[in-house]
Amino acid sequence: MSKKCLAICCEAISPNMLNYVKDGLQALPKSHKACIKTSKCKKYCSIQLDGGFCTSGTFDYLIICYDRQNTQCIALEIHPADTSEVTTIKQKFHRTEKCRKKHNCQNWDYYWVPPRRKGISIKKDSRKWKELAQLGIQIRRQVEI
Amino acid sequence: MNKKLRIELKDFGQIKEGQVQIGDLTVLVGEQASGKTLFLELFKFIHDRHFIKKVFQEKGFTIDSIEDLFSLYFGCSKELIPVKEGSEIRLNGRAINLRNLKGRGSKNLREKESVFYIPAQRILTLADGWFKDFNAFSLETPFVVRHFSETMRIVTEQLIRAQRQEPILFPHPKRLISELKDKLQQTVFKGWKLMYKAEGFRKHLVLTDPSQQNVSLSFFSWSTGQREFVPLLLGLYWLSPSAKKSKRNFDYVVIEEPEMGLHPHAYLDVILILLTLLERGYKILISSHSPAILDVIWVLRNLFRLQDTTTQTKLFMQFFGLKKKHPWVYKLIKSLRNKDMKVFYFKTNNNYQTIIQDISELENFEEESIQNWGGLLSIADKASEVVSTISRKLK
Repeated sequence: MSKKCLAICCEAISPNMLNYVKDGLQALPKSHKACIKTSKCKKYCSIQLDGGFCTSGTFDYLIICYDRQNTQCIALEIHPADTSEVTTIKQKFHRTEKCRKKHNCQNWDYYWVPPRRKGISIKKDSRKWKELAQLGIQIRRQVEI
Repeated sequence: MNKKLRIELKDFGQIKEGQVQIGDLTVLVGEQASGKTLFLELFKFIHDRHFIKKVFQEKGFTIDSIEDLFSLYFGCSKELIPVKEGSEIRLNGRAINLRNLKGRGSKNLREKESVFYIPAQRILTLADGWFKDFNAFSLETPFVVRHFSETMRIVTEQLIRAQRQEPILFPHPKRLISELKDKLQQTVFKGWKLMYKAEGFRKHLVLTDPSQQNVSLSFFSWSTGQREFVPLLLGLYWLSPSAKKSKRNFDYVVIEEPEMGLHPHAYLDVILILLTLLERGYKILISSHSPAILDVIWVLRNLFRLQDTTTQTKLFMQFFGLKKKHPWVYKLIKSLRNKDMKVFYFKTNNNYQTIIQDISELENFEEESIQNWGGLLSIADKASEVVSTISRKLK
């Protein structure tokens, strides 16, 4: 990991997490990388949260993206976007938030993306969509970061 | 006026029991015939009963008993008057007797109109493109419709007289903020102008094509949304004077189903105008079958959780599709910060009786009574469930 990346990670996340940080999107398998659209102007590093840094049952990955001005931490869950899964996602969100608070990390943006850019079968004006929005979880077919 | 008003009802029409705490913005949701209109009409009657009696008498009606007044006001026969023997109506915990028309205070004060009411049947007020006279309606027409029509007729005539050249009612040079006018021009009128036209002894409101001055559309050729919207627009004009006064002498504004006939984009613009009325100091009561107004309350409640005013303004403008940071936007956001917004669900049980529930905490999705925002989200929820099941089966 470059010195710059290390410095940014030190500010954005907890020192305990540094051992889990991987350059670029290396923490994600190839099939999951397709869920993310990256920018050439930004740099990235990633951490496997679920079954990695955190105990299982959290969001899958944490991606730290940064440029000269900003640093953004994105918690990403790759999971079928189906109404029956909303409860699971909410539970995962609460566990992830607990983990974030425990390690005094700055705020994370939460994204839920279906695998292989599949469809989302939750209506945007439904209660479940609003419920997720209230928690700060955004559902996307692909996350542009 | 600043005191919070709480109305408790028991056995009034189909409303079995419940209470409504009036906020700066109060929204009533619920199924058809759940008693929303009845509640709103009662609200006006409680405040303006002396005024109502005076208007009926001035228009030549004979009122011998309170039943006559109820019957004329609600537009129903005496047997169907919603105020029954066992009806209980309490205002801030104090029982009120609607049958007592004596009242306190000076006659002028008692006969002041304090609630401006825009009824759902507003389209009926524009017969052949011009507002009907109070006495031109049948006896079955509720007071709120007759009175709205009469007021709008007078207001529109005043607006026409005040314009020396072409009598253009929309876009009106002295009514509404220009950005709001531009938005309505795009979403409702599509570049056409709302004008007054006199042919012989007949008066009309027409829509004219600005590119072809002689081409005009008469009332029945307008789109449904335009026909529904024009009386509402003129009502909003009346509530937004352009002179030194920021508001008329009404304390409350009641608007039934402002979304009628409007596309959600146009409705969002109308809601923005309603928010400007809140800023002018009116308290607004709305009945609605659209989740859009609840979406706005939900957004505003969450928006004011933010400390950073720059982000607040940015997100407010993003939500309402405003492009330029005008001073009025800052002023509006600042005034909305302290407004109390309430939502009540008129829930009908299996016996067709209504219980009123407070569902103001829209963000509290865990709470069972609030989950579906009074049933307004239920179709979207069901659609999501069904499509999810289909997707699972197809895998």
